[in-house]
Amino acid sequence: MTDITREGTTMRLRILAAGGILAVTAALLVDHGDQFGLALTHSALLGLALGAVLGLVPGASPGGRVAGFAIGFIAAWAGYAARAGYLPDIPMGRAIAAFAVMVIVTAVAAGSNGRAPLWAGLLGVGALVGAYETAFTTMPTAFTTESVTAATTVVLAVAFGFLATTIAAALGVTGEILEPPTESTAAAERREIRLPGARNPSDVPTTASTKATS
Amino acid sequence: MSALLRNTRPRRGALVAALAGASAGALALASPAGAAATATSPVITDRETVQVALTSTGKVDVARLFSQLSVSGDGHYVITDPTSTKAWRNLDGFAKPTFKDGNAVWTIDVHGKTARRSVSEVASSTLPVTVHADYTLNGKSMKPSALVGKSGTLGVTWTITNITGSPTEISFTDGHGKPVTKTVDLVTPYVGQLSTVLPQGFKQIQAARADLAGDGHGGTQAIWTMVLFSPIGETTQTFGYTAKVTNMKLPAATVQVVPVPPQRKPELKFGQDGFAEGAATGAELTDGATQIDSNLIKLRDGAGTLLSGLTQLADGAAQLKAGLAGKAAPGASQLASGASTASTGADQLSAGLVTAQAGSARLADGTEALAAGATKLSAGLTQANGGSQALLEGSQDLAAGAGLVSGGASALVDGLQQISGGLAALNDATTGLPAAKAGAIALQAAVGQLQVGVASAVAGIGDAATAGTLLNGMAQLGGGLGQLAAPATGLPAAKGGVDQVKAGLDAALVPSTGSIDKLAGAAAAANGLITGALAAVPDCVALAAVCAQLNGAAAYVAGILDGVTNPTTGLKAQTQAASGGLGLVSAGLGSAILGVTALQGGVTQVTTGLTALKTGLKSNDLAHPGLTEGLALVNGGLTQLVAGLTSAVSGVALLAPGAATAYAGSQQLAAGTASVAGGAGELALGAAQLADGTSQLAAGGTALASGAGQAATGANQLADGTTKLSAGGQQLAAGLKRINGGAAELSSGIGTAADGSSKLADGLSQAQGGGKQIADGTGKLQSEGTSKLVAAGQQTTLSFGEKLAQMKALDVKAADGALPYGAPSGGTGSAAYSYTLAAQTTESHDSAVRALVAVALLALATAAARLLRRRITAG
Repeated sequence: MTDITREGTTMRLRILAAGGILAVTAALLVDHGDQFGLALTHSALLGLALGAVLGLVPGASPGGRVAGFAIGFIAAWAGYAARAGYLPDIPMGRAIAAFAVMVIVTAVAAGSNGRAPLWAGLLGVGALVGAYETAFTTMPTAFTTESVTAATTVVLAVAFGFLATTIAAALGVTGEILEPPTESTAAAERREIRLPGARNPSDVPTTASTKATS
Repeated sequence: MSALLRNTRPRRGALVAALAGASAGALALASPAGAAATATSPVITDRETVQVALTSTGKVDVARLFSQLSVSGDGHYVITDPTSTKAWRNLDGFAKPTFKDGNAVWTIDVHGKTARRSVSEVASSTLPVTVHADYTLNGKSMKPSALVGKSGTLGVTWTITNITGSPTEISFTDGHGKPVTKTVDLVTPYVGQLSTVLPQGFKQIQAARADLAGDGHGGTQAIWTMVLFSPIGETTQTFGYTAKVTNMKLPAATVQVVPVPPQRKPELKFGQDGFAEGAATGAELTDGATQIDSNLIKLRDGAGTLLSGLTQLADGAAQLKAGLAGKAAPGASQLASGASTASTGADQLSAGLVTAQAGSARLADGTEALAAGATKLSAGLTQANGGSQALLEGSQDLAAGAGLVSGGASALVDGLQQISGGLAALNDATTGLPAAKAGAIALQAAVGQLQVGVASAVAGIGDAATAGTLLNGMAQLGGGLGQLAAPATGLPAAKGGVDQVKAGLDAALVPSTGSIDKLAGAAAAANGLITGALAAVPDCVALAAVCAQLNGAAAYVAGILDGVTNPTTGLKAQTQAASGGLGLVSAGLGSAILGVTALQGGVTQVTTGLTALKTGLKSNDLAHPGLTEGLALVNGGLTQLVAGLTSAVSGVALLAPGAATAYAGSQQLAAGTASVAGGAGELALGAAQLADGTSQLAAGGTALASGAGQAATGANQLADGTTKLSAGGQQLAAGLKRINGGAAELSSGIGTAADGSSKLADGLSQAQGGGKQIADGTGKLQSEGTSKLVAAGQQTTLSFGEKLAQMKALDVKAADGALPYGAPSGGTGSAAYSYTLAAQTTESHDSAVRALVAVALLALATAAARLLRRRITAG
């Protein structure tokens, strides 16, 4: 058995293990989600998936990813607040909100020099939009009550997904699983592990950056 | 380099992505624009929605007005839209109108169609409906916040009130077509529904008025519908539910109300049409009942006229009865009694006169004998005087002369004895002239009584002009009977009125076409319409007020129908009974008219008889004397008779002493002659004395003869008078017998007339009672039957008419769309209201818990990931 074959088998096992952990978590969360609120069951899978993505995507540090997610989430919430309280209910008003949200997320990502990745911010925006857009469209005047419920619900699910992937990583079942292993990536990974000189101990070089540079 | 790249690439990518998003947003800034061509009148429509956030108890938290002002046209327009300016926000852009006096003044260039949406906060005072919620747990009132987490029987009661009522003047017509104007507190017509979703944990749900359905998630969707205006619904409606709940959380509830012009809503228009038909039916009912009622009033008035005529007739009959029985009959009886007494007296008088005639005849004979004896005595005395003269001259013839004298004296004694006896008989107090005089006086007194009686009878008969007399009574009776028989005002008129009323009732009773059957048909039709309306109501639970109204109307119309068709107490049965009673009354009046006609003939005959009787009693014509004149003649004859008898009695009284003296003289003569005869010696001595005596005797004998002649003449006259008197007495007795018979017949006739008048009075009293019963019956039928029917029809018409007028006024109320601030100038609009009763849950707590747990998990995961990465890095 070659190294590539062995790595491929390991990768499949990791994906299956990570997926199994997420599946069990999703099932438990949906089944017992009402312990935390009635709306959780409707947002559980969305939040869990986004949380898993947040935990699985390599690159930025966990804190940076969570921070980026939080920035995007809060920016989206602020956008809804602006739409509900100040902006006209026309495409231009929604465009202004969307523009502002994007600007905030981009600015934070740029300002943090990538520590709060743009994708994590977009993930935060998507989490709130996915959980609350329908309710907001239905009754924008209930923003102060329904947005809190939607936000806390989806954030809780995100947290469970993020935690699940973290546990999976702790158990060694996750890693660079977003992309299939190749000779170059496997070697690069091994080389990167040996590479010193990271700015921050938590800033482990990402596969994407490695790929980009390669 | 790679680190730089790592640091710069994400920033560049983010910028590119942001620029892409910004470009997308900028595209949204583009807006179409056009230029006004020609200014035309705009079509302005304002659709508004008011969303009201309520607390769990129904207190207004915030109310927002969402306005969609739509303008169609081509030109530059200035539009004034009344609205709330509080927290006003344009939902279609950033432009703001000018606010002035509570109006948003828009200046718009329109080329086709454009809209302006806005939102603002409105005051709770502008809301048309209030919502109040009460909660109980196991029957105990609780605050909603205290219910959260509790278990038990939850009771929720909502009270929805339409508070848009304002005094509104409505006009409609009553059952007689008379316009009626009324001011009612009329609300804007709203219908709505309250809906809530009861979670799966709500068990044993009891919601009487609600429409229950599953929500597809195990919960129960409950919906209550409301018609928040009368007369279809109620302005205030209270409803709710109870449920067994564990670990309670109160769900939110939504109340939505919209204005509904009834004319534009088929289900409401159906009710409005029902009110219109009910009003028309009520008017028809009122009209029919009014016709019957007016006919009954005519019948009642006719019965009153009949009763009045019968009362007058009864009064006349009572007067007739009183006059006949109280005066005429006693007078006739007294007349008969007096006539009988007079007849008896006349009989006695006649008998006495016969006796007196016999006595007078005997008296005449006696006096004639006396006259003859006296003549003889005078002659004898003359002879005795001559003999005594001759005695003087001779004495031889003394014995013979004395014998002759003695014989003459004896004859004289006998004659004088007879005269004395006759005079004694004439002078006898019991059988003679005094008795005859007493009888004549008694007869005269009886005649006087008879005259008084006849005068009383004449006065009692009287004349037509003198009140209280028989003829006056008969005239009054005739007048009363004439009034009764008068075609225009009497019994024929009453009978005509009764026949007319009966004809009216019979016309009302004609099957199918009569007003009563029409009335019953109309009521049945109304009942059918209401039953149809009930059947057409889709859901009597949801439209309970409508069904209750219709059921009430159905019961009301059924009551009317029963009032008309009930076989015992219904209008038709009573009208049939009234018609039958009127038939009997009409027949009775016909008999009464015939009886009055016969009575008029009887009264005429009685009047003629009384007039003839009066003439018979007193004719004032001596050529054809009546009883009064006959009695006057009899009285005059009796007066003469009494005078004659008095003279006779006086004459007898005078004659008796002379006769006694003559008798004594004759006895003395006899004694003297006896003495002459017995002693001749003393003849010479006594011849002078005898001459003197005989001379005196001759003178006495002459006087006696003269007196006896006078007595004989008087006796003859007396005999003639008594003969005439006897004849008059017999005529008198015969006349009095005829009077007695006539008086008896009169008394009998008057008694019969009195009985007849009594029967007439009784009959009229009965007829009066019958007339009163008719009047009372028709009055009762009118007051308790048809008048109530009229009132019921009137009430029905008023009720349905008022409801119909309300429905029409509701159309006007809702015509402006019930906008909270009104429609824009020159435009129209409509509004809907949505109230949301806040849920009472642990959501805030749950959100906080979720947030804390999420933050903790993220922190934990982040820390774990960092630790893991360090371990991996370190490894």
